[in-house]
Amino acid sequence: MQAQVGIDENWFNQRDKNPHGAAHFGIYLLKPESRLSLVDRGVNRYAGTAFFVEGHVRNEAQFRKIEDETGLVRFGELTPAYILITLMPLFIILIGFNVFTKEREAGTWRMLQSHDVPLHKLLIGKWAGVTFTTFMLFIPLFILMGIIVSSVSGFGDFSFAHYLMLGVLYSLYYLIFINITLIVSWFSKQSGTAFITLLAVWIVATLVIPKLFVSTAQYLNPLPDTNTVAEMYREARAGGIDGHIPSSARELEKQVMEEYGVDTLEDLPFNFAGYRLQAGEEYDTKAYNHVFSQIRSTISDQDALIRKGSVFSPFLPVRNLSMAMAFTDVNTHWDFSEAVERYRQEFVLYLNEDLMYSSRTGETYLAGSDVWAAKPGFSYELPEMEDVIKAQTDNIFMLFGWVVFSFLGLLTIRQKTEEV
Amino acid sequence: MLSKMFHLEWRNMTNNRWLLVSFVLLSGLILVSTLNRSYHHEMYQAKVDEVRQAQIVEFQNFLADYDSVKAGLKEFDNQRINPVFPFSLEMRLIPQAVFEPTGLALIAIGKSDIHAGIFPVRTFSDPINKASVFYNPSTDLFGSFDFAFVLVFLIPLIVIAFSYNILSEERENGTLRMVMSQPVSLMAFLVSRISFRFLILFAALILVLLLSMVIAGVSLSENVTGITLLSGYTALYLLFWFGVSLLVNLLGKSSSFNITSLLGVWVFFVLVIPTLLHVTVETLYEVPPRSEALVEIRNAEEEAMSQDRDEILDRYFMDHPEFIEAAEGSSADEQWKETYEFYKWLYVVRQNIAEAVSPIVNDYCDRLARQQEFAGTISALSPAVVLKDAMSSLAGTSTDHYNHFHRSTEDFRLEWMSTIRDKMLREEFVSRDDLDALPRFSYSPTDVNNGFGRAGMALSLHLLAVCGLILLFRKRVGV
Repeated sequence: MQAQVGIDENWFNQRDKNPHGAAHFGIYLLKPESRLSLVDRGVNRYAGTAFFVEGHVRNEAQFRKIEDETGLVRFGELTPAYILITLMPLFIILIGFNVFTKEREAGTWRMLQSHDVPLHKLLIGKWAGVTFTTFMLFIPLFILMGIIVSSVSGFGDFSFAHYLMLGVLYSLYYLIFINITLIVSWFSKQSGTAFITLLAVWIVATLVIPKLFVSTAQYLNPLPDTNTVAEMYREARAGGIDGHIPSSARELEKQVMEEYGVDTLEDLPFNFAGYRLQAGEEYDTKAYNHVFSQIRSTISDQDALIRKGSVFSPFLPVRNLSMAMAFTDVNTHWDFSEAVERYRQEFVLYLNEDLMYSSRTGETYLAGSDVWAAKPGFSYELPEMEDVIKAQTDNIFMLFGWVVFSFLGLLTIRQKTEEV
Repeated sequence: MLSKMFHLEWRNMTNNRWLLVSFVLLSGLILVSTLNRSYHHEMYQAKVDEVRQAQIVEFQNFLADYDSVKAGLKEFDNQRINPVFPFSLEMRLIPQAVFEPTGLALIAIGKSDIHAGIFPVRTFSDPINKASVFYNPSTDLFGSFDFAFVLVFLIPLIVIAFSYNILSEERENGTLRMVMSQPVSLMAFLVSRISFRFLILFAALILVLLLSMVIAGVSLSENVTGITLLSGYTALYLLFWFGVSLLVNLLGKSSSFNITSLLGVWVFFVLVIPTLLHVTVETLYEVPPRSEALVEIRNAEEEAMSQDRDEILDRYFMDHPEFIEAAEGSSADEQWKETYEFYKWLYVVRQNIAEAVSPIVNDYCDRLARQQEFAGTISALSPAVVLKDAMSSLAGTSTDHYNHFHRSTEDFRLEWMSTIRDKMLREEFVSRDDLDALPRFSYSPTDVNNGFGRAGMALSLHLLAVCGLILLFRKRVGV
């Protein structure tokens, strides 16, 4: 990533300064885009892309693309996932809404009945017809997309397993819509009614339910605003050592001097300023962990509530699973954010220890390029498939539930006609 | 004749159970959406009041400390928070930027779920980083449920369900000849049917909306203009969809053809065009991510910070000799002068950084503004986008409103900073008069050019285009 290289160079080429000054200067870590984000951009536009790593403060990811967007993006983002998850069901509805109503309207239904064609064969035939047409469109498209996505440069590795998994998820989702379409077509008297009903199902599933559940989640679990968060932090931080204020660490001074058997801080074998800064840093970290865990728990309550919408919409579980497989879901974002925080602690500790061990209390010390060059490295591994699946158990369960449910729905067609 | 037709229409409609159920459902959705937004708005207002109250208390405490110090009753070890020292204004009286939507905030969420409405104004904030709310990306992705969504996305479907078969139905039921035998032209018959349905839907919609506003406690009399405009847009939008429906009916195909093609038109205007417009905007007016400006900004910061302190100040005072003269007349003693010296450097170096990064920031903002302007222009191609934007404008939550809010915040930040900086450079202490004359943040949604005329025009043009096509087809079909 070009920008990350530039930012790293900023760090390596900074002037000589006190290591703690360097901790304030900090470094930015940019969230890498996964290759499969080309298929599903997920929350990428809505989550920050840059994390400012600095002493004392844990920052939320900055630069959300959505902040600069025009209102157009809220109508939907033209990505493969949008076409495959939102628009593809419309195509299924279009090819399948009249499979039964057409026969009835044209009067060919009676003809078929008079030939004693068993209903289940007819049903399987119709089902196979719609399914075949759907997958004849989907499979070549999916293969072509796979070739394009795997050959584009500038992104991480192409994971065949994840891509294949996306294909399986979409296929299952299409089966649900195929089944619903056939069921509605069977129970409708006219093609028009079947179409309206199916469209209503589609609108409710893809547009209304997600928004309704989001609104409910925001109503029941509102997120705190900037000032409330600042207050939460102040409360959690109160009374602790402030690395910048010597008077807040008098107790600590005494303890350390006793431990080392010295009378003055200057006699310590290390720079007490670094020690104090690190002690203060630990308070900062503790306070931030407290604040972030509270916010995250509100967010996961919101997400859990939105997931409940899956009972009413097969769109939600597949949307969430698709993002998860493409590493563009909220979980991956938080996972990266946690990795950055772990790194931040390591980074600040490194600089405070450098101040501690490269100088004595009271000395003026300026660290140079060798110190900057030896900073801890940051690396981030995307979660394993196993972990993704584990985190997505709810959604997988819901998706399979919908598949089973929709096939059961198809069975009712047989039972009903056998009665007739 | 007309009254008979209306009577017949009314009976037809009240007999259609499906239509009634969907209408009741929709009214429910409108109520839910407006009441939901109104709840959020009330919570927000409560927060605003709380913040303003806290600021008053902060100011009073500051004032009390100020008087104590002046009377010699109190001393501060840490001069940064000593109220007579100008820097304490920055430390203790952190101003808050407060966004205010209009009285119609409940009709559209606009961008209020993305941007923070209340945030502290830091004297030296990062110029490319907007204050963010703590956000949940997944709720933002799916978006919230508001009246704008119901009106823009769902109401056209009701219009379609209401009118897709006005002509085809007659033909399919075999009643067309009966209609033709009446002393009214077929066109007049269709137009009156459409008009009746439009009037019913429009009146019901506005009624439900007004009702939900009354329940939510929105003053109707204070928002007459807004409500009138909203009614106007709604009427134009409904008429557009009724027009499309009439047009499709004129093609003379079956009801099932009509409904399929009308829904196709809906998908096209509401989903396909906006996403295509979005792609067009992003391709033609590309704006690099904000993070790309980071490298240059950080280089500029390092550069400014690495210069010799005295040199920086000397150079600055060469351009601003007035500060030297002022500082010479200062009443600050040696110890204070030392403190001032550090902060003088701090302010000057920060200003240098701001000046160094301003071309980068301005370039970014210009590109963004050009992109947004272009988006605004081509959005006129979709009545759905036009209406959604217009509703956000009416609610005071549009992109333009937030742009104006951020600009106001930036202007205020500069004013606030220079007030403190100038006192610092003059080595002046804070006086009682200064405290009375501190800059105040102000923002009002009425200062924003809402583009109401443009939206009305765009919607009218869409309607005119449909009317033109209707006339064209009428001749061709010969009704």
